[in-house]
Amino acid sequence: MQHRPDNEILGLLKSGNPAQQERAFRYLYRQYYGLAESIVTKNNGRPEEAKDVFQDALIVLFNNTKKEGFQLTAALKTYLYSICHKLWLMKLRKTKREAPLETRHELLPVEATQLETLITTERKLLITQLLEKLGEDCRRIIELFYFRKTRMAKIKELFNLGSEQAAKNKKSQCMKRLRQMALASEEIRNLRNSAGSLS
Amino acid sequence: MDKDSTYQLIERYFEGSLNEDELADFQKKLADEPDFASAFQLEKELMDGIENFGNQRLRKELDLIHQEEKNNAAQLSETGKRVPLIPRRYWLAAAVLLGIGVLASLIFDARHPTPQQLYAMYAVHDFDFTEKSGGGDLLSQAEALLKNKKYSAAIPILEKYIKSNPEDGPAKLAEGIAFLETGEYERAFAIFKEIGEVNSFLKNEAVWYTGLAYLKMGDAEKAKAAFSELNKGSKRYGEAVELMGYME
Repeated sequence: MQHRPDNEILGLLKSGNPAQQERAFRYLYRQYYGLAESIVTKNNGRPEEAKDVFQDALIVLFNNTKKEGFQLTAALKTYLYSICHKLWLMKLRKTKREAPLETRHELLPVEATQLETLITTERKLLITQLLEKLGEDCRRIIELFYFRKTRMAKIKELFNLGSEQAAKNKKSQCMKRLRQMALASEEIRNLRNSAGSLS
Repeated sequence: MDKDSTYQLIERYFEGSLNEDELADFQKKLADEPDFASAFQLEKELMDGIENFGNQRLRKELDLIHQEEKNNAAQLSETGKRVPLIPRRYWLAAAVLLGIGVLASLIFDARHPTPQQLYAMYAVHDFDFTEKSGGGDLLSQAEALLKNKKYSAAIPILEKYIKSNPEDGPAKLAEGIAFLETGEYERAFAIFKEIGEVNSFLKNEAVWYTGLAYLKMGDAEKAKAAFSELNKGSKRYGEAVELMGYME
């Protein structure tokens, strides 16, 4: 497979166009999946464990490309290698650290910050569930606009909306519905109260 | 400030579209107005949830890519193994008998993919084009089936949809790809030809898929002829140049 310049791949990831983003991910898979596999298998891992490491690395890369001013300071290959390496080491350390906890059969004191993290994670899950209930079009528009950074012109085209303003209005209506659902959710309210009592 | 205006302002903050003065006012409101701060907190929670949701969806997409790439690699290695015509146990004898020239030609063959292998490498279908048509139950069903490679099941649904939406080019192209994947080449060619004639926006896609169809049928020459009709400014042209590099 022909090598494509790093900037071209970054351009596809930043394009906001899901089809082009998929093309970039596919290229990265074909070109660099072996890197993750080599890191994992040479460091006490099984080949199938490389999948999660590589996917996490791609998600980190994608989320970083969305940040304003993001620039690669090394080759994309080196960048991905470094993330995969770090992620795998973290996983190894985590496994090492957690294993003795399971065998000790004792309850360690849980710090407030750990509870806050749990609450945040729980809240994110609840909002994810609300998004699932929102309906396909709204869910997709919100995901495209906020997560994929898709431009309104493209959303207008994808959803056959009359104008960019119509696309913008549709996005705002969808956000309004999501907000109303979040405000009406007893579980989210309870979490907020729990978080309040921690501070 | 009413609720709608408050959230509109907060939405603009998260979109990054506030100017410097608006941003300063925004920070002041956040510090001075508890209701505004509470609305902001809710919006921030929603943004975190959307990020989480997006990551989950992206992981699903990556899972699909992972599976497809794995299948493609398996397919390539399976057909690659068939390249040597001599049974494994006779390799050594064959090398001695036929000399280094034959061995070199075997290596050479393995480095040049067959048209079908090239098809497997380059037939990456972008089924987002069904979304460009605006959604709808039938299209959503068809898209889900196509993305899961259930092409035969997708065809009747697409046919039903196209009957009432004959102008929908992306859906027609999806139907053509489904025929191509199920080996119904004549029907696939007919659809690509029709799209090429009536839809200037999708013409290059139709030409690209005509070339891919010939590759899948094993006809490299006709594939090359089809690819040569691609518009040089099109996104497919670069891919076609790369692909034809393997055929030289």
